[in-house]
Amino acid sequence: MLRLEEAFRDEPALAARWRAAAPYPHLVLDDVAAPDALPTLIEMLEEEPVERYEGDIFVFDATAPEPRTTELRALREDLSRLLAPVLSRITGRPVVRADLRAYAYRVGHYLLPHSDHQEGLARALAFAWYLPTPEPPVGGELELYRCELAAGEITSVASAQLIEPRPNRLVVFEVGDASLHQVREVLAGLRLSLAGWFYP
Amino acid sequence: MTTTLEQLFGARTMTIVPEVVDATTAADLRRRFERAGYERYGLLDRGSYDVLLDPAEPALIGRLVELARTQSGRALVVTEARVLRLRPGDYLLAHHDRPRDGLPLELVLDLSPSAVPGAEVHYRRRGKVVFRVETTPGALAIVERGPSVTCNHTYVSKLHASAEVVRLVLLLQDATT
Repeated sequence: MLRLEEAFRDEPALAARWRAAAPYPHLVLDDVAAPDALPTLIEMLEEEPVERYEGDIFVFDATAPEPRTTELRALREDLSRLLAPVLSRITGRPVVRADLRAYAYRVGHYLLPHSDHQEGLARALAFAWYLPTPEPPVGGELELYRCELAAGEITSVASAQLIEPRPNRLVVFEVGDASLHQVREVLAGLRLSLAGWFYP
Repeated sequence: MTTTLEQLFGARTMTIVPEVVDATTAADLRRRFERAGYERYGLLDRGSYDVLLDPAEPALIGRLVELARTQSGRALVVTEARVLRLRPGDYLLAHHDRPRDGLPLELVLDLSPSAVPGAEVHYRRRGKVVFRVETTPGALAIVERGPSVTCNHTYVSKLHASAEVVRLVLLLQDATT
């Protein structure tokens, strides 16, 4: 269903883009799936229960960490099978499996700056695949920061990249101490994505 | 030295005293804080806000300490004082907050010009919110801290473009310690 091969055809070029990307290694790929695959994908997500999650750094609606429907579990396995080998070659970070949740950022939802890096979780690569919505979001951009660190602590921060959540766009970035990023507050519309991490 | 359950879990006092200062006094204070000069805190993995340390407002602070003494029955002295100003997009995260030894009282006086929906102070125990302080101009929150209680100031939505949240935050310890 996903047919992602086309977007990843030129691996040497993607590897070069990955290495050159600032403020830390990342890729932004548009039109990653065949357009006719997207309605089926959206239809499938409608079957998956969504709950509101709220913490000091986030407010959003999302599916549970472990997919409830067999369809979403199958999609997670498809993504792992299709993308883990190619991302391992492009990024130089050997990964074999992914987790996956669907996220719905509605008006007023956000995810404040954080790095995704947590001891013991082994997250190697983060990804977000943006989906079409009936009302495209205003805001909801993925913002990447350039950080300086001393003794593992961030000592300075500057905004470096703003990535629009365009439908059928896939963003992949390296997870580390300095991979500070946020999802800007959605000011209107709806931002839908499938997102998660790849693991060794 | 032994540690009691009370010392471990703390936060027995969590209360809000309304109308401690009126709108005119709050506006005067905001002007004085502005003149004294805020500094911007911008380590975004922890917080984004303006801060003024040790505001020179002895009369107001003395009045608040007296209120806290009356509420708690404890003899207290100020060990930390700061003014926080949050505008749309600002926040203070829980891991920016330091654990507090003993059972100090934290006082949060709301000097905001008007209520801002969703802009709250959250006190958490083991990550769970146990006390929410909404933006209520003129109100004073009195919260007993302790090693297991952390605090965060929630994100101020950009949907409220003119929002301004101003909080005088005091930490009070027992006078004898």
